[in-house]
Amino acid sequence: MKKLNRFIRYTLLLYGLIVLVYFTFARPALINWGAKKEEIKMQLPGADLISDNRIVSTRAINIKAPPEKIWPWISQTGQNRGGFNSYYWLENIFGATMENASTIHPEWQDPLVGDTVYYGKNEGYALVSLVDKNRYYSLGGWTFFLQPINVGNTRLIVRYPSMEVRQSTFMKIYYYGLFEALHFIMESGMMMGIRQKAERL
Amino acid sequence: MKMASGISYKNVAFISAKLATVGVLAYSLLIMAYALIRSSVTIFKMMPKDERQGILFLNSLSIAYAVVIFSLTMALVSSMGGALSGMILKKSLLVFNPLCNKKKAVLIGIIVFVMLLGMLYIIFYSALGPNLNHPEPLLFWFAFPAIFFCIACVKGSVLLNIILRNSL
Repeated sequence: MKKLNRFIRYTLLLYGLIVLVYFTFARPALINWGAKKEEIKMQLPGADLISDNRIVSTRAINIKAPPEKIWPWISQTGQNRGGFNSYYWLENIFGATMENASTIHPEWQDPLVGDTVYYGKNEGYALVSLVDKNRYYSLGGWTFFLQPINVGNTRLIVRYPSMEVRQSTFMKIYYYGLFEALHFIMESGMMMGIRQKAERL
Repeated sequence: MKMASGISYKNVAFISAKLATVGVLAYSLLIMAYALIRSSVTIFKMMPKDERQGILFLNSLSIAYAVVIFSLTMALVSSMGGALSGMILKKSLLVFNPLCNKKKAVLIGIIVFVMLLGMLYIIFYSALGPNLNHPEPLLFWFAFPAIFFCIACVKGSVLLNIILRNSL
């Protein structure tokens, strides 16, 4: 029994340390991972879909490819299409039945406003709210914006409107306790996945 | 509540709850290690050397933090489940194994495990729906924890049986 008590004590100590380091160093950096100050303030398409009282994250990554080579991977986003280009094995633990396409599918290249994009099998979904080929794509305010830097280099800027600031305590616990970290893991994974595929094209 | 059985229901519940907590914490550490290693390997493949460090740090901490919060919540729920399992085991041993036979104690441990596992399946199925039956969620949420649970039930039943026999 002493061994069990010691195991619980040390594990909780480690957990406490993780929570402390997460809130002190990681959380402030992951909200707007990779984005410059001007990009955080930048008006992106779909801004009118985001209410003022939301916590918004803006993340960005450089891609050594022109927008035309990045777009095909963004346009086929969705569990019912080419996946999310993120950690599919992590999504599948939660029953998403996700499969990331390794090739471009012509049938998913022209998404239309109102198309349904599933986050997982039998799970939630979003409707495509804005599309401008090779420029931007938005799912209810979750916007993927392609900004050309020069010939052959593009900035992928992703804005996500998450929880409303005024929320129930339960929702706040869920948001700060789980959602925010999980969403960062999946979204950054998605951005890196898109980059890898676009640069390989 | 103390009976001629040498250990009270309260103590059985307390020890069982503690065992369940240990099981959840140990499992969460394994899951944390798995997710950290697998996602870090993916990042190593995807990102150039000079851009890796920041995202590796943020990704690792986010995974660790999410696992911590999730496992603490699960530990709370599991400790209650563990306490209940312990009390059911003791009651079953007292009713069905008054002579404290070891083989019978093992069998009772297995039966209690199967019954409670069935209940767990119903609870997880109501949360995840048919998606639970896919290999990954089935292994992660059900099969691997079931191994911990089976060992705890059978070993717990045998130990409880020894305590009961010594108090006869």
